[in-house]
Amino acid sequence: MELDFRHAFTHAAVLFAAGLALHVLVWRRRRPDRHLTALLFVFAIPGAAFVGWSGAAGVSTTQVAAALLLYAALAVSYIQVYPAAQASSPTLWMLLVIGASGGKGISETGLREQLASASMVRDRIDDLVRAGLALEDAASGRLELTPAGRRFVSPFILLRSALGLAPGEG
Amino acid sequence: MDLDRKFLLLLSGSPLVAFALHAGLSRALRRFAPQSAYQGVAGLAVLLGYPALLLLAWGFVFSRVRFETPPIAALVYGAFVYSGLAFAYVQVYNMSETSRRIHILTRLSKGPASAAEFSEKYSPERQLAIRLERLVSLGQIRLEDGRYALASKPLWLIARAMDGWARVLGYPSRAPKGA
Repeated sequence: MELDFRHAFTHAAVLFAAGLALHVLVWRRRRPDRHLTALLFVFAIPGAAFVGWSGAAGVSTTQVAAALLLYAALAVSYIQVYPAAQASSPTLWMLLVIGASGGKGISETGLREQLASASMVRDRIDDLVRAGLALEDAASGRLELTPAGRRFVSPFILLRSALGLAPGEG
Repeated sequence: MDLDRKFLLLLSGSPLVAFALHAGLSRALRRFAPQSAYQGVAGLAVLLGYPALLLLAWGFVFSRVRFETPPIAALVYGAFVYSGLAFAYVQVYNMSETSRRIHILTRLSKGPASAAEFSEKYSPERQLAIRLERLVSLGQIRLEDGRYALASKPLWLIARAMDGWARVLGYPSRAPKGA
């Protein structure tokens, strides 16, 4: 095998750091409406720049592919985690509340009181409409899927079907 | 195809190994132990994927090379790539299980619905009950004398880290005071 894995690690780490830095800069300056599309675009920029640079520097295609594969693995992991930071995952929020209660714990009633003040559905529906995945009729409050929404959700439906599972509880 | 490319191709397809193991375990569990925590099964499938992938890499790549020293760098690189891709796979699966957005879209794929229907379905009581049950079954929290307390810290630490990262990105903190 001729691949230099140390170079692949170094290149991927630099690319990932560049992607994260760009992500923080863009988000703090002006948060995009279509979060995931914007995030994919943000992480594609260092990758594209690397391909351009390595072509000029004469790096072998296999070596570039090795760095990009590791970079892609890091980037998709981060992109999958990002929604939990962006949209207040109730599970993580509950853990924070339970953790804050210390050793004495918290009753279900206490948790419910705090949960009642959190927006559980409206922000998610707004996200879906903003992202062009669902349409909402303002007058009737009726929601329906857009073609983009159908394309987006189909892999999840297929995945659960392949795993032999019913739709998740949300 | 040279061995380097074969190795990269194998790693690119590595989430399929996790998926195949997950499908097998999930179907077996559904048949023999339907009350088990399905998220734990995804993690187990990913763990079993490491030796499975090592066997595949050995069979298709490493056995055809005469190494003077063990291919540690290749193995570490492979473990990192697989870990990243498999983690993303588990997150996709978790989204299909727990994400309200995916659940709303799945429901809408069957036909239009009203926002009120979702508000009713996602009532705070129901959300709380589903998540408490899930966290208890995963061993993250415990119920004692009618009160919930942390039973394990890893997920709580992740929650804190996520909250901290949200603040770096400019979102407000969701942690209660003192958390």
